[in-house]
Amino acid sequence: MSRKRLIEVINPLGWAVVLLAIGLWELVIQAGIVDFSYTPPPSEIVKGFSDLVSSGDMGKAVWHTLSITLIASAIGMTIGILLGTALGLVSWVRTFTMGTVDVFRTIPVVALMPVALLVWGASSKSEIVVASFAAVWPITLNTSAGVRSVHPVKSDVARTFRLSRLDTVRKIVFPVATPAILVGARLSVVAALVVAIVAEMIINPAGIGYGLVFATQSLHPDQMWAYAVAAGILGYLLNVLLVQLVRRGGANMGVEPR
Amino acid sequence: MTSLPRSVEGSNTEVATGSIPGAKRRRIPGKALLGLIPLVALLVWWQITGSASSVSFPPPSTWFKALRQLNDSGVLWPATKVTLEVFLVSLLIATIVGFVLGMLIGGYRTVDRALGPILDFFRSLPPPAIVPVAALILGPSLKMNITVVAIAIVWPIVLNTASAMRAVPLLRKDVARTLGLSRSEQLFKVVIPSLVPGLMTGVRIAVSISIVVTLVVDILGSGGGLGALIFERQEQFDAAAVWGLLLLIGVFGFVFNALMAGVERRALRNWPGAH
Repeated sequence: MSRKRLIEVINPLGWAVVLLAIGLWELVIQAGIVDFSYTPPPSEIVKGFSDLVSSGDMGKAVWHTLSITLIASAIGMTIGILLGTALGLVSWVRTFTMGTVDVFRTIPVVALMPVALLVWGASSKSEIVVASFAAVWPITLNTSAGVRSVHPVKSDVARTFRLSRLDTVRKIVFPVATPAILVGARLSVVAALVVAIVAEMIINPAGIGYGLVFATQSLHPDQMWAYAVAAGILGYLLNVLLVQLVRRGGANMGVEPR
Repeated sequence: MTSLPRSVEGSNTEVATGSIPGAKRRRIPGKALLGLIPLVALLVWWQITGSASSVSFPPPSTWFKALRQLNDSGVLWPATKVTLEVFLVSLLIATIVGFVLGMLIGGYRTVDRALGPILDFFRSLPPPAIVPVAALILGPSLKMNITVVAIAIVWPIVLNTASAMRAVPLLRKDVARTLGLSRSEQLFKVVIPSLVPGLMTGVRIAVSISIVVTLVVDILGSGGGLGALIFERQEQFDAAAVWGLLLLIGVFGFVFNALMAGVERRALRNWPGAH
């Protein structure tokens, strides 16, 4: 790796700015120049973080949020891929359901939470339901768009070879649609994560979201910041992982992902 | 740590319909209504089979009654006003700040590199996680609500403007220079118009995030809006009002999203090949 490329990857300037910002923050608070009573200096946030890790609370919270996110993503993707394929391939399904899909996907999920609370109570089940609901729509739309983007010539080829409908879908449609579906899958996972955290703040007392709210209410701003940082790291890692997956999946199909 | 590739647009909730061929077919309005048939059928079936005394699923007719009661007791309109105000003002602020910041990041490589890791963190931070932190620092007030929402939704606007800024064709800049335009003319007649498609995409994503964050802020923060109202009704086990408010918020969501899609389509008509 050349020196220039190394600098490109590591981005020393960017990290210098990060360190500078953290250092300045620490200094300003420690020196008492600015008195934000609820803004602990970074050193205390690190301490709060390690307290939470050693007490096991952080691990439990992250695990809860992550597992709900993954379960909800799996449910959302299963429904979304089936629904999206039907919407994309069968024109009467599209005609007679697209309007309903548009209405459902624009319902702000937060407004569904009191309803979930009424029906299923303050439980992980409520959380999974709302997170799955959020995860369904990105993958549905992307699957449907991907499936519809099959070039007419390819459909003609399928017909020329007298492929059955099932074979056409398996051998022609899905390979073409895969990059779009993968992008949708990534968006679905992110949506599930965001909604899971909101649900934990509002309806289900567990996980990172609840940790954030609980630390705020019990006047532990250091722990609150620690949870916020944990949420950021979790989101970042999921994003990096999924972007890589999408790239690799797209590359296998010989198509540049969007 | 590797940084996220910039080619994959930084958005948490972007719906990729606009960029995939085949998804961009013009819809006939009458035909779109046919798509509502399952929804209408569901509501009719619910109305007929539901019992008015159900604790979780009261039929639709009771929703409207509950909404009218809320309106008569004078709580519905003030709550709606607070929510709309937070939503619109924060969107305006986020658009302006995000546009300027995005231009700087896209225009100057040094700024881009310097802010890279911080931006990567904020774009992957689930927006609602900012709410309790910012709420604690800023204190409970309408201003705080607006600030928190603006902070949470500004990122897609920044990132999309920045990538549009990087993608302004060199030829266009050269032409502007050849024509002897002054620097400010270059900026306002060539560069800024070239950024409109990117900005619109960012704003559309921001709108869809904003509807959620506005409600979360309302619930966790000072309240007074529709989010607080719907939870207050839920605590009273007033299921009909909860469903009614869900309907109302759902209508807002639908209208704002449709409005944004319309504005975007109209704006992009002047930019052939932009999408």
